[in-house]
Amino acid sequence: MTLDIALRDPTTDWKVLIIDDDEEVHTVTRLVLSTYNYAGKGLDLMHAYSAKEALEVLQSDPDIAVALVDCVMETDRAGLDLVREIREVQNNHKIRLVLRTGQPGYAPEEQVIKEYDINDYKDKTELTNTNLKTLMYTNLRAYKDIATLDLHRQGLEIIINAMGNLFHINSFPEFASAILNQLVTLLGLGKDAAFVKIEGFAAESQKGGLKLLAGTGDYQGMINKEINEFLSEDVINEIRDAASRKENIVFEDHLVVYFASQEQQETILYINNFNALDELDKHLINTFCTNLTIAYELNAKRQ
Amino acid sequence: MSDDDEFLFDDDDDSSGGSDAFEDALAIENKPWRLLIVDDEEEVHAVTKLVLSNYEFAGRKLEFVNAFTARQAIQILDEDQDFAVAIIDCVMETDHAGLDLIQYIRDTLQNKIMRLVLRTGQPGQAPEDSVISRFDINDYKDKTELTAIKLKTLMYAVLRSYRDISALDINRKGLELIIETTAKLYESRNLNQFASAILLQLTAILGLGKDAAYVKVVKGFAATEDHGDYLLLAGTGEYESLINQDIRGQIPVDICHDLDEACSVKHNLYFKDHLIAYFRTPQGSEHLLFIYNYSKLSELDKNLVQVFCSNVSIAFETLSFEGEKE
Repeated sequence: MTLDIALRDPTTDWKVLIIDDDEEVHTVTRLVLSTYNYAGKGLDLMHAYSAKEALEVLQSDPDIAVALVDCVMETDRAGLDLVREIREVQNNHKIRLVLRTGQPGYAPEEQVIKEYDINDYKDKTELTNTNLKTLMYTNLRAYKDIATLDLHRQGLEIIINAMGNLFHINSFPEFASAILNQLVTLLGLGKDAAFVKIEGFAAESQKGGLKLLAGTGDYQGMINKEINEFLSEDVINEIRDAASRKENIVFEDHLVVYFASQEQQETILYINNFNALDELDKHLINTFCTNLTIAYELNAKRQ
Repeated sequence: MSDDDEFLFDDDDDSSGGSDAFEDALAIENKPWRLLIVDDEEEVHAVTKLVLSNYEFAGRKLEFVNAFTARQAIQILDEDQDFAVAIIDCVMETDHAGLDLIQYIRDTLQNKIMRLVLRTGQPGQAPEDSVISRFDINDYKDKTELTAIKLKTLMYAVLRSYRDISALDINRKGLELIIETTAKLYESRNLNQFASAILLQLTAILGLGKDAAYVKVVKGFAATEDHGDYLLLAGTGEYESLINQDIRGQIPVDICHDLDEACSVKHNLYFKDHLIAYFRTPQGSEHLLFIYNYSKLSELDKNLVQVFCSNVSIAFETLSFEGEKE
């Protein structure tokens, strides 16, 4: 399943596809929803004038949150066939589909809502301004719930894969580097790599100083150097703070993870440049950190 | 145990032992969707129930639970949050009792899965525009709008999103369960322990989102291919007593046939009411998990089983047990 950038990137609007063969319906819908916003984002309205065109749009753009689907277009049941195609052939169970019909005779409400996997049924006459907005709230809310859970699910899959790899690793620097890469992947999940440049490093305490074990991005070239040589004082203080409190510290756009192995070897992971952490990020990071300690200790015990 | 014997040896007449469990499982599969109606008017409860009495979605009917005040609804929910949908009146003990209840469910109980519909008789007290944007509700209905057809449409709309959301939530729980129990796998000292750990893990995963009665009917075994026969490493239910025995002659022929099939195609097989997971270790031994689960697996379920299997395979690669080297 594709990742949804709109869910986590505050600059991306919710994508809504209007499918109708009547130009006026597009105009009115656009007018009513022009100032609408949900969860701090507006709508990116997209237009298709036939079921065929809609399928093409959906094929190339799988993150559309809601589609308003007219029933009668190329054929009397073009909209209904489209719904079936989206769910069963494109296998898209995330998008919320609302059937909007001008001729209820062709698609009786009671039968259609029962037989087709749609999320609402509206007679075009019912769609006043308020109703259309309510419709957007209910569907975007459901979409957001679904997309969030889906993202969470993908994050957990990354953790499971990562854990499997952690059990294989024999050297500590390799272990730290694997964790670092996994954390960067986790935090970047569902975010556009072009806009978000997440990077970080792992450092190990040695005789009072901290030496870089592994790094990504700009930190990659600093391996084996003392952190005092290239980090700003603010960052060094944050790291010292985490090490003396022996716990993780989460800031708005960066994060310090403290972690000690059984032999009392202390490691710090520092990751920056992500957007503000949401509940999901925090949950995933916690799950990950708890388990990597277990993995490392089991690994050490076996050897 | 006599029940086991019947199942194992009595192929023609398995109507006694086997079908009871099957009926239990069927009853669990068709468990109704639970609907909480919160309204201070007795008549609203009666009409809702009347309109929806024959309603069915995905082969499951509705079970109605009634609350006449927000306070009573809170008492019910504090005990039991297993509702798909709550239809909530706005004005009850106070003008905004329904809105307070919504906040209680979302913020205090932290329940984001239950679908909430606000139904109001006095839209003046809770204007649609501001309520729908401010409160985490899944629909807003004026009581006058709710004809029989509209009420059914509403149920389809909310139950569909509940179905989609709870499927993903169960999948999430499955993944968390895999994460939590993975360390256990690595602590196994021998192949038998490892086999019971993975059997338990898969049983728990398949039972997620179902109640305890369901989990009881899920049973299975882990076996290793042994010169054309299968040596049972761990088992639940009637298979428990077969540990460390060759089972080809002791289990039904069709199950054996499915095991052979999995070994020949070398991947997992999914059937209507059971599945076989296939593992091959780097040392070349072949292991199988067989689970009866009585319900068809969705794509999401299969995806979960797949994640489980690759996790187990990695564990197999990392650990090597006595008697495994050959």
